[in-house]
Amino acid sequence: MSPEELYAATTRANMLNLEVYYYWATAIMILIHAGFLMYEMGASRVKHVLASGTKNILAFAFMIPTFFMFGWWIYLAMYNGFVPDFEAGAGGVPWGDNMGPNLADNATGVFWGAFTLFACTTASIMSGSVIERIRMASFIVLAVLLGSVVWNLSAAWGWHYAGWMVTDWGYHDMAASGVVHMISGFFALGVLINLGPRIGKYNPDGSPNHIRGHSLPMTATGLMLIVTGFFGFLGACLVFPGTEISWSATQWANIYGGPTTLSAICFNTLMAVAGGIIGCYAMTRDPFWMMSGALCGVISAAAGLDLWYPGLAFVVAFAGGILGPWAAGVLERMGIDDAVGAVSVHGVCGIWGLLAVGIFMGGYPGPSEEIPAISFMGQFVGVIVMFLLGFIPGYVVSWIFNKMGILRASEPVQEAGMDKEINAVAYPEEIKSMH
Amino acid sequence: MINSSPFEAWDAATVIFTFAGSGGVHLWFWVMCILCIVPLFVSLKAENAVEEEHNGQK
Repeated sequence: MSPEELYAATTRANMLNLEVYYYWATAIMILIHAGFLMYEMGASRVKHVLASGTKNILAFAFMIPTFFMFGWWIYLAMYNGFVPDFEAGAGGVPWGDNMGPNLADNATGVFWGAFTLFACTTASIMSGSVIERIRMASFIVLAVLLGSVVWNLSAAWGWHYAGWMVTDWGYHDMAASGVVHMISGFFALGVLINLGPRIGKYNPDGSPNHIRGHSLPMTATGLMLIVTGFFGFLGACLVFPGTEISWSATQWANIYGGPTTLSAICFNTLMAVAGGIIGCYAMTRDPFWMMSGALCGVISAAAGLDLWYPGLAFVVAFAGGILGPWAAGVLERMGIDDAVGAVSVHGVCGIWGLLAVGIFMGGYPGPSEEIPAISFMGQFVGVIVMFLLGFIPGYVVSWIFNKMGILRASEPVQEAGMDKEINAVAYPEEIKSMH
Repeated sequence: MINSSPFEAWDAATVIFTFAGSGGVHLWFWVMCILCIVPLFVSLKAENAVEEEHNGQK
């Protein structure tokens, strides 16, 4: 075998390994959705359980075809801002040769699948915060807007080697503290402002009541599934080496082309999970928040998972574990009824994650001449952009739906239970509603 | 029945999905779009019926 033949055979084998890697990473990512399903159903009261679950599953189901229709194209074409690059987007046109079974292209399907699951995760983050009062059709449209449009724009700008935030500012968000978590957290905030609180959440004097979900064990188990699924999510944030489309022949790279290892992700993800759980436990000693602490930790450390010293990842995550429940309390006192703390866990910890990279990683060189070094200012600009890009569409579209009278279920329907919306009963015989 | 194959032999075949390179792809794409939009209106209609029922309008 000549050196050229050996090289071709090795590259081909690596391409098949790439396909296998992202295929199974995508499968593992589905656990995130299964976890959110359990998390949200557990956080719902008995009379709302199936409506919460149905919304979550429909978000998943609608995300997939809409990501095929336009989501993938937006990611490929919109890296410059709001003006598309049609040539770059050609590979994502839904009737193109790459967007279906093609023996000359083993990569597009698995990349599309992984990005679609990122979109499903993004939409799921919003779905928990709005349970027990949002109407189905409006929720689905908002979920599609978030997962198949807004997240793709944020990823094109800040999670793409040619994205303007990366090339102009050196924005570093390796595992999506900003482009997924801030976006979805602040999109949810925009929706929650128009949606209003659940009936009974606030007393006439404005003081909040704690509305307990019907199954904390279900919620805690769901959160552990999410943590498991995050290993697929975070692994899929890396670019596989040794193929014609890889950054490197011999080493893993982040989405920007910066070298790293799968070991780095393993070190820092586990440390972040632990730091977040312990931080939240220390802050609240509450089982719900203790498990949410795993998310606080991972989200806080996510932007720099490729570069943290593991001990520092733990510290950053621990701080996120304190920040999350504190922010949830502030929002609750401001009249924002976020049923699962999505704004604080994803939005606020996402801010911290981006800024932590700016504080501790300033000066790390960009992976190419086109990408500046990491800086605090670059990360701060990222915080502003991600906040606005998430909040404005969520607020504006939910405001329109509210004016149309299709956003929020009426009080009698809420009192009867949102499961009336889908004509279903979760526990017909044994478990009584608390109301 | 319907011959949707874009190739006649497996040798050198690359794009192998049904209707590749023909107008059929566009047809099924738009059918898919419609099948995603219609259920939203079905859902909205059912939600409105539940709202009317519980608000004493029915």
